[in-house]
Amino acid sequence: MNPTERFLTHLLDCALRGRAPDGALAGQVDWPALFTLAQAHKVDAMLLDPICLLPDTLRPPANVLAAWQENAMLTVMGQVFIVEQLHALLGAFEAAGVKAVALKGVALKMLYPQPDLRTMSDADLLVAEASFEAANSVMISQGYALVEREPAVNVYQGPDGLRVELHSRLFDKTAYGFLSRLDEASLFPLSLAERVPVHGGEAWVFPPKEHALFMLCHMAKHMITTGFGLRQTLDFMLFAEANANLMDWPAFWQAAAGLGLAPFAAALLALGVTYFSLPAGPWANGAPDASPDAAQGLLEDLIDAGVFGNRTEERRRSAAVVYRAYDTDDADTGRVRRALFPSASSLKAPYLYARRHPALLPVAWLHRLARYGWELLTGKARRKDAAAGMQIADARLILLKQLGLRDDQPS
Amino acid sequence: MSEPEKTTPESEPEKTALEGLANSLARPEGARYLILRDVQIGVKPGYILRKVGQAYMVMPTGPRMKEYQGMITLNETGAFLFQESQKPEPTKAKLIEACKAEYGASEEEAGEAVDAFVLQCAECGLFEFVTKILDTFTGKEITEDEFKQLKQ
Repeated sequence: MNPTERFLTHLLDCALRGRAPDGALAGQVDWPALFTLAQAHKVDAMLLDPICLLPDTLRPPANVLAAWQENAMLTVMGQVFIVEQLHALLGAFEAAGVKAVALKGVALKMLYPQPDLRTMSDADLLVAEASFEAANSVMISQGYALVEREPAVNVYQGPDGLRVELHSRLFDKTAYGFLSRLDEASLFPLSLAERVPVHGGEAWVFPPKEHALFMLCHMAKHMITTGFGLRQTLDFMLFAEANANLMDWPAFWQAAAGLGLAPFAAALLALGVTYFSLPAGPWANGAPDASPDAAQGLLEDLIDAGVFGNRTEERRRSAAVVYRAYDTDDADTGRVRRALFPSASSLKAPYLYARRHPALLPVAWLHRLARYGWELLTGKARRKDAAAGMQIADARLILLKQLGLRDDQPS
Repeated sequence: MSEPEKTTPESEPEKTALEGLANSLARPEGARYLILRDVQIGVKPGYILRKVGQAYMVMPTGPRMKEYQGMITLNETGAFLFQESQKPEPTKAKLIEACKAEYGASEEEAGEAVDAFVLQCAECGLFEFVTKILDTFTGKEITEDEFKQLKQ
């Protein structure tokens, strides 16, 4: 990590623990770069309080601090508004007798000292498959417009801006790696959901063990494509800390091991111990030892990724190469072929038509190539971006192996 | 019908602060009704205060968001008075006393600060403006509806 990245992790630790930062670490910080990096991880608002505890001489330049302050205030206002909209929607589900389980977002805000500073940009809700049509009716009745439809997921846009993903299934079982052997009905039965206080109201959520396992699987799902960022890492670490005495940790680790995710989870929590003051506790019961090299590599990957794993264009390009490694015998070769001809399941918008109609996959390949060619012509993309994407993919495949996430190879 | 005898400030004790204020104001000859705009101290429901970094901000929540889509920034004194205004049955006198206790201000300084705060809150919509109408002939306060009926 460079000094700026190191200070980012330090500020996050201070923000979570209510501590003043160590001024000795602030000397070599590139403040504009730190602000940009924090925004890429959607944690910038969280850092303002510890920054304001620095002596004046060590604080960001006035123009950076002013932008940071304004951004944070807009963030809080936006979050208050989003949470209100979500609870209004959840109330409509309750009134209609449809159990909608809140995933991530609002279910995790209370883990943070200032819940409004843990941002959420949309809401993920899980309903039983049998209730999906009724849930759709609730969404429409509340003024939400259906804007996107994927297998087992409807995406809606609300009248006041809230975007909602309504799931009847958590993960795509046709996907690669651990996802293909994930028995969702057994691991995440909706019948176990509990109605509990969350930030701004009440919601149905999974019990702690199931919730922790879901968070782990969700992070792993992103890890085997674009990666994910510091916010999800903090969520998981804080969740483990808050529920240290409330869940069956040996059972959690056993389930994680069954999915091949235990080393990955151990590495995440090792980062929590090293960088974010995660105290020792029952969460370690049954945990494997974390590889220091894997944990350090994971941290660097997290920082590079940004909140959705798409902080840079090279990173986005690397995702198809990484993901395609799971269904091929030549994972460490043939990268160019995988980059040019990705599988349908790895494609995102605007190529989703190939997922819905597999016969159109060749059309999507041509569409991607044409789009890339146009971007090269207009200067929006550079040839070296593709090479950089390959390098990132190579490094990430090695990291995934260290974390035990390469199903295609023994770790 | 003859007009009721007008009382003078010296001849009868003022029953309310409103009457006292009314009696002290110059008004056009023959004016019977005094219409005064006052501020009801107390934050309207639905507004919340948050501290973000170095700033204090007030935001609408719930139905208030339909009325006002923005935020109001306060300084530290304003934030303190805002919180005091959210306590049960706030009055100007209570705010002044709180200001004096918190900041060691004099009666005059605290009074000025509270007056400015109250007026700004009313203008921003955080406090309610209330209209009071005094019938100077009877010396009694009447409602807006009664006033409208009398004027018809």
